[in-house]
Amino acid sequence: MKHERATEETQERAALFALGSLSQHEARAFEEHLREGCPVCAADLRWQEEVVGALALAAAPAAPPAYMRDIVAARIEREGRPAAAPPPPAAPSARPFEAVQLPPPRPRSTILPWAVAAAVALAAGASYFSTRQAENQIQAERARIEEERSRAEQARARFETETSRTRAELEDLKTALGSPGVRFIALKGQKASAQIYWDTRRNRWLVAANLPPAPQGKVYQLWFLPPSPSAPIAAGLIPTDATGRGFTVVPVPSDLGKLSAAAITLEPAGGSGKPTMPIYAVGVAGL
Amino acid sequence: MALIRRAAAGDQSALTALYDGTNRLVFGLVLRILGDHATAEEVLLDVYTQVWRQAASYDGARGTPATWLFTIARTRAIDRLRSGRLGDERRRPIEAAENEPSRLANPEESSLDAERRALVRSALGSLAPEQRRVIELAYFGGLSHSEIAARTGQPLGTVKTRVRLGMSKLSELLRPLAERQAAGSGGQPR
Repeated sequence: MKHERATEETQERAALFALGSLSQHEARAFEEHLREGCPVCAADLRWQEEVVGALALAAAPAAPPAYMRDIVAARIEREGRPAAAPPPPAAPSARPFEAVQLPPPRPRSTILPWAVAAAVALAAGASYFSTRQAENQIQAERARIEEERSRAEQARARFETETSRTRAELEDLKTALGSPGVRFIALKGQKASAQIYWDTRRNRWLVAANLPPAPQGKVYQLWFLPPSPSAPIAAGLIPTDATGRGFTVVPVPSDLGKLSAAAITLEPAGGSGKPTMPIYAVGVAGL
Repeated sequence: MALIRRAAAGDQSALTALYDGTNRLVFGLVLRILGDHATAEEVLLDVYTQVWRQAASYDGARGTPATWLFTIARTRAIDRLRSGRLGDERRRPIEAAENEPSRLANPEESSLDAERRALVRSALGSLAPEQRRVIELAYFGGLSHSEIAARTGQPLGTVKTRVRLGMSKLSELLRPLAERQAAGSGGQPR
């Protein structure tokens, strides 16, 4: 039913719609009404929306930290062209531990130009690998490491009280980066990802994880996965911040033997001797 | 407008330029809604990512680029606010942000921008306090009319009346702003 003139009721409805304050049901009904072509409500809504648009200016401007600009630029870079956005990768979902099948390592095709520059600067280690393909892969991994570093940088700025600890983490990452004996494990899950830089010279894993925030009373735990049928071996806990980002360094026991993969599960606080919960993220060692 | 078109064509420098020109306003808005710096940073990143993804769908006939950007920013921030509202105690009361002084004077801000902001702030400030409150609860708090009624302890009808009167008054006060922007872009209240 179209209106012939504006009433208090029609103006209230348009104002509340413009402000996004109608209930979902009411908002849908109003949209339907607009689709029917009510000129009165359409005109009302137009000026109400202009007012709402101006309200944004009532908020005092505030400068975000300078690093946000780099993070935005890096995100856009990774997104690629709007139309050419790749579909999200099919990630293994959380499922019972026994049913796990390790996915083959996926070749990484995206090489970020800015990170390539960084990789060139670190090219000393690249000569270690002979084939062109391996080099490409390393460069892509370095890009990811660089991105991880910028995330760590953001975390550092945020938690100023933890400055020294985070610096130590950054130093660890830098040291591992410069070392030729680094293997890489990318862990993927439905909503989780993690990167492990395997410092083979010092026999340790540097783990940077991006996980959903851990629920109360739970903690993320990392597992070494030797080839089947050997059981997973507890590698250590991954403490995460409120946003689910975590960084830790775990020693790799020298008597572990052949080791090809890693997994993360959510466990009761304190961790478990063997995995009791579904896998959040899993990955195999590349190279 | 040109920046959004270039961004839609895949020009990353256009998006960065847009960020440079707008990040303080967008961050100010998001921060005001969320009241939490870390969350506001995450939302800020989401906002420009969405701008990048959706630049092609921006329709100049529907509003100015600034309005489009602010709408995305507000929607993102309020979505986040609502998803985090489960534990309400952590959140800063919406009212606490009222009348806060400009946090940072920006030497680069054009006098036109400053003038427009001053106009909006003074318009909001000249509303009857109860009208201003319901509009701020709706806009910055993302509350529905019934939530506003519950929060203010006023009957729903009163809330609706205050919203209508407040918006009407704002429209009058902001007319100079609307006229300065694209002429002929919409009707005015009778």
